[in-house]
Amino acid sequence: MSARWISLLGVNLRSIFALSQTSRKKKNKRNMNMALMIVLYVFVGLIFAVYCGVLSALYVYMGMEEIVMPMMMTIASVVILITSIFKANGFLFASRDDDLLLSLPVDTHQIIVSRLSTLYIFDLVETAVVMLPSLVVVAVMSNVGAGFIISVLLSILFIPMIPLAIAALIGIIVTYISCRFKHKNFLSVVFGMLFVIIIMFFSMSAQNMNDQIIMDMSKLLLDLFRRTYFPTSLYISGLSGNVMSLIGFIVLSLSAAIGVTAAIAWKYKRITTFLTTEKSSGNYRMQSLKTSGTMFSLYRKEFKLYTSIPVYVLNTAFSFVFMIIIAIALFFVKDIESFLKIPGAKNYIALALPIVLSFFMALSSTTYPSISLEGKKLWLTAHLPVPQKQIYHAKLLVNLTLSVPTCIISSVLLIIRFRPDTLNAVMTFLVPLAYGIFVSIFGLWVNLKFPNFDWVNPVTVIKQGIPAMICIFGGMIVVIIPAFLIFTFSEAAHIIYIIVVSVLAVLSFILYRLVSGTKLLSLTE
Amino acid sequence: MLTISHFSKTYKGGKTAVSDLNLEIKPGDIYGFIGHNGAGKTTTIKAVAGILDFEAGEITIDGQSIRQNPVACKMKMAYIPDNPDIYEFFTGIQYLNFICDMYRVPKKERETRISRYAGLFEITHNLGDLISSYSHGMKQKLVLISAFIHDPKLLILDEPFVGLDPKASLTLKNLMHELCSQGSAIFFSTHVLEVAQKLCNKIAIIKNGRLVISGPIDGILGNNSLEDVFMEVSEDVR
Repeated sequence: MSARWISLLGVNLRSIFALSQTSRKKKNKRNMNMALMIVLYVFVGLIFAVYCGVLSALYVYMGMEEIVMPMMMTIASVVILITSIFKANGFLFASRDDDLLLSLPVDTHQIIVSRLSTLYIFDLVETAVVMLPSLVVVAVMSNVGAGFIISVLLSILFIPMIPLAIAALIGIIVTYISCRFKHKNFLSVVFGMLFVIIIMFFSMSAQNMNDQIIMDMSKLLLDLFRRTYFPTSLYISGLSGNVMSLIGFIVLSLSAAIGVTAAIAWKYKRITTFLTTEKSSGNYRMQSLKTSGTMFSLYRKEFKLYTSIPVYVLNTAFSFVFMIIIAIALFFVKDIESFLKIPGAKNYIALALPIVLSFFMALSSTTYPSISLEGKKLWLTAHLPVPQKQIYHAKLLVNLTLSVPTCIISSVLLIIRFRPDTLNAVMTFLVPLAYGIFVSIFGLWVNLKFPNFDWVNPVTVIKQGIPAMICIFGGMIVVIIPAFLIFTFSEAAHIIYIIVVSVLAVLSFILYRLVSGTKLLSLTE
Repeated sequence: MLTISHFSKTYKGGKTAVSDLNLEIKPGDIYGFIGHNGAGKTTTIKAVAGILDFEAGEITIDGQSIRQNPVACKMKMAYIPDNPDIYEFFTGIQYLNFICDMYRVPKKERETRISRYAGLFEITHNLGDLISSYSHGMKQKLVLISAFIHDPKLLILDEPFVGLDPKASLTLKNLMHELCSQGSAIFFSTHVLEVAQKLCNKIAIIKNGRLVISGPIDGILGNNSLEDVFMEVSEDVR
């Protein structure tokens, strides 16, 4: 019986890493794509690993080595919790293979374990990326024993379990409440975002409370981590040599995982039935119909597709929502330096506005899964009697519908608040808009290059796969490099911004030409 | 209406799905396309429908090349695959309205036609529900309606009767006759040889990517059934 969940886990991983089998790519090209994906994951992992290593080294250098592992454990757990809220729900429920799996002689527990295990594997890798470099730093720079190292290594296996369990539970609650209402997708998105904002608010509030007293005393920092994430107390005690505490942490983690698995399996069919059976009234009467042009009709269809998948909205719109929240917060905050915890911030905030807004714009794009999400319906889109460009334009417009108004509202608020000079004010609009247009086209181009139509769950193409990796981390790099230049050569910031806008415009044009020249037909083989 | 000239399709990896296919379908024809599994029927149909690219040969609809003028060709035809996955986030009426927008069907005509065809297929009352709530047969009916509402000159169907109840099957047959009597043509594949024999005035049999027989059904069958002819042709080519 235990072998079945492993088989199902294998199927899930193949679905994530398999690339457009309908295109009958040559085997070596598919292997190349797989290799590219692995390289991307390794590259991104290395960046985070180096960051965590450097951060840990700083704390060890300051004589606060005892807080490093608890800090990294708390960070990893909170990050897993927030990211898992976005994906757990969509991955656990209403997969395309539900009908098949539920009709097989497989215990529902096995199905749930296989899906949670898939999420766990990715979370485990994220935990290892955060914890292992820090452990290496602490082990090399401090006098720690073998017991400490073994404890940390052992704990890595269990750290993702509690946040994943909490995220899954939140996902169930959100789904259970929202699926009783007509606009369940909208409610799912709203509740999901609310939970994430609440978690982030409490994380930041916990930090603020301690910052008011003394910033850098390790005892108070440990207290901070205990407040932020409750299992940290057991973890800290366990790393200090208390074996019972470490066992307690492991038992707590395993209990959370087992308990949530049992809870989900117990109600799985009911929740899945709720989600997959739509209410049908069967009382339609013919009414007058509205006609629309082909472009608007395509755009409306794309937007409906977007809003019909809650994880798609959560994953892409959150950055825009957060951008507005930050802009509003900065608008009303009086003491910027205290709020941002950056000494001297008020001196260069006006200069930094364009690149700060650009960071949010570059992180989000609805276009990178938009081709893959056609899935088995690609035949229908390819057969429509419209120029191909219109199909691509409709997908681009969805992202621009979200990004452009968000950018304008945020820019206006921040310009009114910080009153930059005229050129800076213009850049505050232009630079993030340039990024918004660029990531829209870039995402579409990447997805045309690396489509995946064989997904059983849309989370696969929205949160995993090559296009997601390239666009999210590519977007970050494209902003970080100019940001570095601006903060290093602040006197030439205006010139740098003009160069950035020009480069993005040229790249956008080139990519647009490439996108326009890509035939949808070439993807249907 | 439809001319296929020296059409060949070889997929990446070297598999030849169709080799040097020639076929002509005139207005008023109901052309049956028959073959075993993997014979090349779906490849041919998809190439005609403009959703599969090809390098060898030419396919023209009403004199226009599907490769040079894909939009113009698609405006004149409707394609229904064997397992139609459609946009389940639409309601039935939203989907039909979307299709009408794509084919630029005027408001009055679309309302009249939707009302008529939905009534014939008996799904009018379900048009307000999400497609995700439809059964397979209801989705099939909806897709059929979406094909008829823009009055295509060429109707391409891949196994159209699968999933339809007997009444809907009869309705479809009647609508196919009606469409052809108005000067349109139908090109459809099926494994149900009795239906093909009753419905079609012309047939083509494909085996291993090659056309083995084509033309008016009376001339091909003689006193035999289509099943006998199909089995005989299959044996001969083997």
